Amino acid sequence: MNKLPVTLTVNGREYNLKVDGNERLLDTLRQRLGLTGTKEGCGVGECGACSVILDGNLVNSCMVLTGQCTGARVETVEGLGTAAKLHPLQQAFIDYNAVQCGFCTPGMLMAAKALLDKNPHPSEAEIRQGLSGVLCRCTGYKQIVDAVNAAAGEEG
Amino acid sequence: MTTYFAPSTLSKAVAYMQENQTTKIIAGGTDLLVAHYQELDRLPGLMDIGNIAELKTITTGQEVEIGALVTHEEIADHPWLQQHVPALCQGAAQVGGPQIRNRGTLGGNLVHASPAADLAPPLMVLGAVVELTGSSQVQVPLEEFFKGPGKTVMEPNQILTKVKFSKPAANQGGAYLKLGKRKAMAIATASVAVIVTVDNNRLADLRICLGSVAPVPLRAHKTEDLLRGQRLDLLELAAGERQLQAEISPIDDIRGSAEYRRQAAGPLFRRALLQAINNVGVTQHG
Repeated sequence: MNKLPVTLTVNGREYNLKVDGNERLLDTLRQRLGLTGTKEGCGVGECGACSVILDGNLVNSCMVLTGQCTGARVETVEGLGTAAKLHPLQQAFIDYNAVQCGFCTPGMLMAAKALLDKNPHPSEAEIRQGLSGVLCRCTGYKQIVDAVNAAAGEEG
Repeated sequence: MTTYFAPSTLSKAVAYMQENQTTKIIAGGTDLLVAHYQELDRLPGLMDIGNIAELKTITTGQEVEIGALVTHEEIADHPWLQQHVPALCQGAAQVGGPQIRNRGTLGGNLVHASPAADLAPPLMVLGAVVELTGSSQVQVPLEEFFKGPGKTVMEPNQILTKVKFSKPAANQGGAYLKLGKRKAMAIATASVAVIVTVDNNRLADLRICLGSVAPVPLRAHKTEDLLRGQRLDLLELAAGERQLQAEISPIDDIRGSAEYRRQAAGPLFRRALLQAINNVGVTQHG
């Protein structure tokens, strides 16, 4: 099998990798780079748990091959904030009890970040649309929408 | 063993396809990686066409050309397309969710040949033609492109490179409506695109295409014939719905029963038709 050389930047850090042609970005993040904040839910682009930001656009990392990412800039939940200094979205998720089981949370956070990066003051409808590709199995959508709305106000 | 080739130009891609006809083309990957989810370790050889810049352009004007690699999000967000072909943007905006729209491409949506493809009905009523590039370049009307679920007229050595259509005239209007289980991430249970030409308060012409109600996206020619030429204030909408329901051949599947689809397609068509008539003139300025 021919290994592909891939150089990509994840959360500001550059990686030079040699990957298989069938390796998904999700597997690279979790298994090679140890960034297990990105979750695998369905594996077929339905649930959004594996959402990351690729060159500024929200994508399902289970639907992207790492070979397609040469020169790409990837943002994962690990790059959002630190334990000492949470990202405003992370703080808002805590303040609004927007986390139940937590499995969708990284995807929700990245979907919210992708939205606010492009549209800093979204309407509630725009927030719902921005989050629409991430499923919350606990169905706590109201708190999540409220948290994103609050974080958007803060960043204002 | 997955061989992986990522050419930077169309000519290299075409040359590679002539030699490697079992190679699968990957662009956005949002259909291919679903189809191969259970057997990623047995993926066929891949040719990633994502680096081919010439397939990423949108050319506007009297003749519109959209490259195969243009994403759903790029179509949905394009101001000129929103103004002149809102039905196409409505289709693109309803594909999957944001993640899928950011990756999935126009070309992929068509070559996957799902009867539920959201871009097929609006493009078909626009009279779109697809450009297929292989050992030579051919133009195929979209209406002749689909042969069945997952089947098209494409040869193994061809790449879908472009979709072309003419800008609708000032007296035309279009709409696309989709019925799904929920607003996001739903594959259409039924969908309909309509484009109308209004002249002197009459429905001078119309084209109707339905998704998810037949093995391929389906033009409803008999319904078009029935309504063509009617006065706008005397449209025989109930008769049109009945003709449409007689003309489609839906099946029972996980997303809905054949009977449900037949029932729903009528009113869905009526709403799309009225919306298309409403859109005449509104969307054509500039």
